[in-house]
Amino acid sequence: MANGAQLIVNLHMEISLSISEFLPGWSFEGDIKIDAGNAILIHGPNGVGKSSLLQYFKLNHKSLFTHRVLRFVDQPRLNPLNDISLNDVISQLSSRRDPTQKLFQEFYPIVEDYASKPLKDLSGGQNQMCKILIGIFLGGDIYFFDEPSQSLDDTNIKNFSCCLEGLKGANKACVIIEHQSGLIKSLCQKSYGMQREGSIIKIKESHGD
Amino acid sequence: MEIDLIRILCAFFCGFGLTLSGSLCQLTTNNSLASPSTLGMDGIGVGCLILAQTFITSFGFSWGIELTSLGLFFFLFTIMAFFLLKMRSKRLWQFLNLKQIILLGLAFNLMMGAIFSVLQFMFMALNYDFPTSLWFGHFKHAGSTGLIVLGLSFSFIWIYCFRHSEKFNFINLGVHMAQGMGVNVERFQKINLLLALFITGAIISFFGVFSFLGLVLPHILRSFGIFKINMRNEILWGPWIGGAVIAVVDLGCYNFIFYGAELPVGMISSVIGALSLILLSFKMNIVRG
Repeated sequence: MANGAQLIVNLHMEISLSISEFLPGWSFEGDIKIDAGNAILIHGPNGVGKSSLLQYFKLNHKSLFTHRVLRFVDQPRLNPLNDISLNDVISQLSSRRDPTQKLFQEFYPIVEDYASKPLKDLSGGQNQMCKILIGIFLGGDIYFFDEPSQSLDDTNIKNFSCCLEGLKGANKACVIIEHQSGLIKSLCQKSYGMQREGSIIKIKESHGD
Repeated sequence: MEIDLIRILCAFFCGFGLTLSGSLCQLTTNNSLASPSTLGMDGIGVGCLILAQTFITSFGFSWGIELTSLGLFFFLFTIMAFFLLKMRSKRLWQFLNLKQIILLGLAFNLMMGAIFSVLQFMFMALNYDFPTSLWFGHFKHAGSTGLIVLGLSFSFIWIYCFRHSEKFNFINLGVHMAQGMGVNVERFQKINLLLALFITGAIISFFGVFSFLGLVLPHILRSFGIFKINMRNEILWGPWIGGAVIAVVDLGCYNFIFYGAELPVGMISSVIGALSLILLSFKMNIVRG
């Protein structure tokens, strides 16, 4: 929270969720605190509902995140029907660009080599970097990354970590689901663990993780 | 060269509609093999034709097969639309992601084709009329009624697509990306599929079956510059080109008679479309391999 008091936009949100039917047969309880300039990590065993939680945020963002712009970088790869490339996507989305977002120009060189290739022809890691760059291009107040290191090699994991630092430095809040990368985990200020207790999925702040 | 303006316009609207419905099917399912022919929509249209002829023969309806079939189809469509738009189960809706739906659609079409053949045999054995010629779509009996129905309805559908055109580019990037952009993906997919079904059923009621046109035309469009990278262009402007293509093909069929018989456009599309389906499946397997 070191940057909070100096910001023009001070985002501090506490989301308290108690959903009677989160997934079929399951309910959800928990509190999450999101602060601008910080990254929080959400972890938990496979199948506990981490991606479903992000999906819930996506579908109910108007009621949960009033007046905030959310940006999601999901797991599934971009697989368009046609031969659209990252450059074409950027061109088509230009009207939705966040004009205050300078990070895109800073990180575009990472993907420049394959930005003109059709998205469906890219490797998993290249596709993942394109997704991340599209999210940065569009801008937002809170970024949600669902396993961002999947398919990324060590170089691109470091590149993503630099993106993450850049987003934090630009006062964005980041919520990350991550299993693999210790480097990405180490950049998160808070950590929340999800676990099942009976038919309830609980999320609690964990320490020393 | 003879030109029948109403016939040309009917052919244009058929090509327009089938191109649009094919693009909507492929975009909605994110599968380049999806089309009204492979998703079973043709089968539903043929089923309505069969029912219409049965009603006319059994109960003496005087509407004519086109309007009877259209009426039956519209009734069935309304029920399906009500059920689909009200359906809330996410698990049930996930069928859209399954490749098997294409196999089911093809199987359903084959089943309707078999029923069509059986009934054709029975009707003709009993000396009743049967719309045999509609199995391969043609424009020999194109009239103003069909032109007005298709022209008006497809115009409204195109206007809907124009108003929601930006969403097509988002959906093209994936349902998750589109959701993140604020698109109500489930509702948008359902509406797109219903529109594709409506277009197909209306065309089949008036002019018969044009197998695989909805599959082939979007693929042809995507090999050209402005459609290659912009799904919005494909949805909005591709149908105009598809319509022009079919109008020209039918003009050729109308003016160049083969030993006294006019070749139906639907017959041409069946052969070319089936071959294209085989080549596309082969190409997709090579790319994946």
